[in-house]
Amino acid sequence: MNRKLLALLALLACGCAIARTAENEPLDPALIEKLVPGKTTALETVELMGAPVDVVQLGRRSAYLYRHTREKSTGIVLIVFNMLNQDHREDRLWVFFDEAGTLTHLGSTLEADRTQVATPFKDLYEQEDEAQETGEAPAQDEKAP
Amino acid sequence: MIRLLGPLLLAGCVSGSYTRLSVNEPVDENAVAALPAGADLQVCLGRLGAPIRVWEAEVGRYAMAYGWLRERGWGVRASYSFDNLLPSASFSFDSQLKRMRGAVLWFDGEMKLVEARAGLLSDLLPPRRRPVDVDLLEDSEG
Repeated sequence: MNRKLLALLALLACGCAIARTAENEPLDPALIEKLVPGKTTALETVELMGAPVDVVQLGRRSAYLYRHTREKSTGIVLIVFNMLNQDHREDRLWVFFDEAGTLTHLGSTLEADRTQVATPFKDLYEQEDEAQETGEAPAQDEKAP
Repeated sequence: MIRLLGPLLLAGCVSGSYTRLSVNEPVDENAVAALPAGADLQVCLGRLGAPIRVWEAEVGRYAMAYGWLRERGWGVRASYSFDNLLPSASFSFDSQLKRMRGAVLWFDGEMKLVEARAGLLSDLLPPRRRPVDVDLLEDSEG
């Protein structure tokens, strides 16, 4: 009787959860295209892109990071056993400035909109990763030219 | 046995879990290996995209890291608290960074590639340190 009661309670006391979180605004490719190495200044970059999330000192140079993160999670809560599937992707832009504050280099990766939600049973990227490892179908990344 | 374990299991004091975690898209290690020594920073950024971290490795030497993570695994959790019935969905970026695969690229003061290595970031990343005083640059350059 105890075992049946426990099994019943475990089945009844279950739940599921879906969560979506995002940090900062998505990076706009049109704005990134306005950044011109050798011309754009740090001030103009901040006026265009807003405040960076990180500033790194590189000797007399500096680098600013702009980042938008998106995370989607699904979970099954069975109290005695829980499952979670979480996907985390980012838009990132690094801009590098010389001592005078002029933009010298920039690089961007825009993949936040590829964040996926799936049941905890599903492997989101297994086939994609295997294909890339074998060289059959390389992933198509959006990157700065 | 079940009289002992049953209340613990149902109260969430002991629970099993299966977690899948995916962070960023994989770094193309072939593209990393194909970067020629002396390549300009812009060439590296163009081929690999934006890194997850940039820092001053030492005086006049800079580094940037790319990282991604695919984890799936079973776990058992024991707890005396009733607060967290869900598996934790939060993480520390630093501890996650060390479990990532990826690449680290080192550049000289002219932002030309000196070295590129791919692998586990825990093997590639040095401990964090403060940036050097810029006055030391004049000593090292002079």
